[in-house]
Amino acid sequence: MMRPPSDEDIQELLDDRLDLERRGEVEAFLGRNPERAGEIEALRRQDNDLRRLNEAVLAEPIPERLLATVRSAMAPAAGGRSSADGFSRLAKPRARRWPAMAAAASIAFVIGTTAGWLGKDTLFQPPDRTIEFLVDDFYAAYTYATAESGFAWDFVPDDVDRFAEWSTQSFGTSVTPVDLSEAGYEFIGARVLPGRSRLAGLLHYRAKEEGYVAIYVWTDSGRSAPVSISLDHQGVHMLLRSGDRIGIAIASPSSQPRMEEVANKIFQYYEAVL
Amino acid sequence: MSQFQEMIVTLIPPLRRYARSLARDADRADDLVQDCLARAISRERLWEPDTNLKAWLFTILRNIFLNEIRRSARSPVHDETQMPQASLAVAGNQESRMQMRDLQRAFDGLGEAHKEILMLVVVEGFSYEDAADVLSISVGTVRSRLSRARTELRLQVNGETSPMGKVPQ
Repeated sequence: MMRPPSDEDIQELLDDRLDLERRGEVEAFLGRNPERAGEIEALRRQDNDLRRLNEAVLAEPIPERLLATVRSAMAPAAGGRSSADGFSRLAKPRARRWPAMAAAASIAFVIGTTAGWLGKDTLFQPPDRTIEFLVDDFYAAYTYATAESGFAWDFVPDDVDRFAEWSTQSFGTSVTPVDLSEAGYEFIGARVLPGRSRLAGLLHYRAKEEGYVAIYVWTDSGRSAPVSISLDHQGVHMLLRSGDRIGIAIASPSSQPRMEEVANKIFQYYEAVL
Repeated sequence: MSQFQEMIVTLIPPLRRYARSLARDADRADDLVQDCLARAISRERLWEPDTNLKAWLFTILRNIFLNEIRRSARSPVHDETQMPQASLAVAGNQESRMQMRDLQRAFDGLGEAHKEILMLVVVEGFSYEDAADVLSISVGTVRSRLSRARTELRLQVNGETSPMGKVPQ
């Protein structure tokens, strides 16, 4: 004799998990019990409505920052910590701000042309996606490095030779930390960073009194012309300059004095390897 | 982009949907998804290719969410202005839209455990086994919780009160 359907049977019927034999028995029972069948039908409609209710989000465009997180994956950095792990904690902009940044960059460029480091044979190009990503990545790395007291550096000051080795292998040119002690900054450490189809490294300096300067080094093989950009982004002043081989970007708080002096020193130091 | 990364990208929309059901705030949900993606990529070697990638990602996302809740020792943010207003986007006549709005309200009124099981099994189409893995519960518990959740939702839609009340969190 057929046993009446249990709650479990009903759930499995709704989720299409009942085997054929049991399904036949349950449907036969429901055929003889229209009230119960109506209840099951109401639950089925409820399931369908719940699915419709939650369809909208699937049609939304995927935010760039999520796609970028997937793209930015790379092999674990030295020290065993994954770069993707670290990066996930960085770039969480609440909204895309690039149009405003592009405008700021254009304005800042006009102002920036008077600065010494922009003085010769540099060419401003309108911000493209490459630069947008670059600024995003650098800003995120800079923010994270300055905010996290326990930031895990891949290369500490005593280990700069290894950073030079890594940069030689990765960039094809040796990059060593510039000495900024005369300007009042001490080198804290370097970190290998994920980038979109490029490798990058972060060199971080702390002012002996107050403030930070970060230098972002990236491979720039995809660009056909050098770029120089100066912009302010969320309280951070950034200067970007790229050459045939690598690019160098500098970031420091916008309120920080003597930025130009420090920037000139940095760009002069790296002139030969750009 | 590797095949693994490409597979992950295709799963971002359902991840965002699930994250919103947990966090109930669109920005916070995307933060959760971003953390989940980065963690998944950094732990790619831990994923077994013959297993359900979607369930694996959902498990990671849920764990991140629960850890955040434990750390902050507070309830999920409930910002009505940021709630996914899916019902408003549903096509149909006025009556149909009202019904969907009632359903949304009723769903919002469910306990978290009931909402989760409905999202995983009914909306996302997880098998009971995969849902059990994501929630770290037995398949039997999935079945019984699902039954109570469906009943509770129906009662809420009809403006009735369940004699069982909400499932303890």
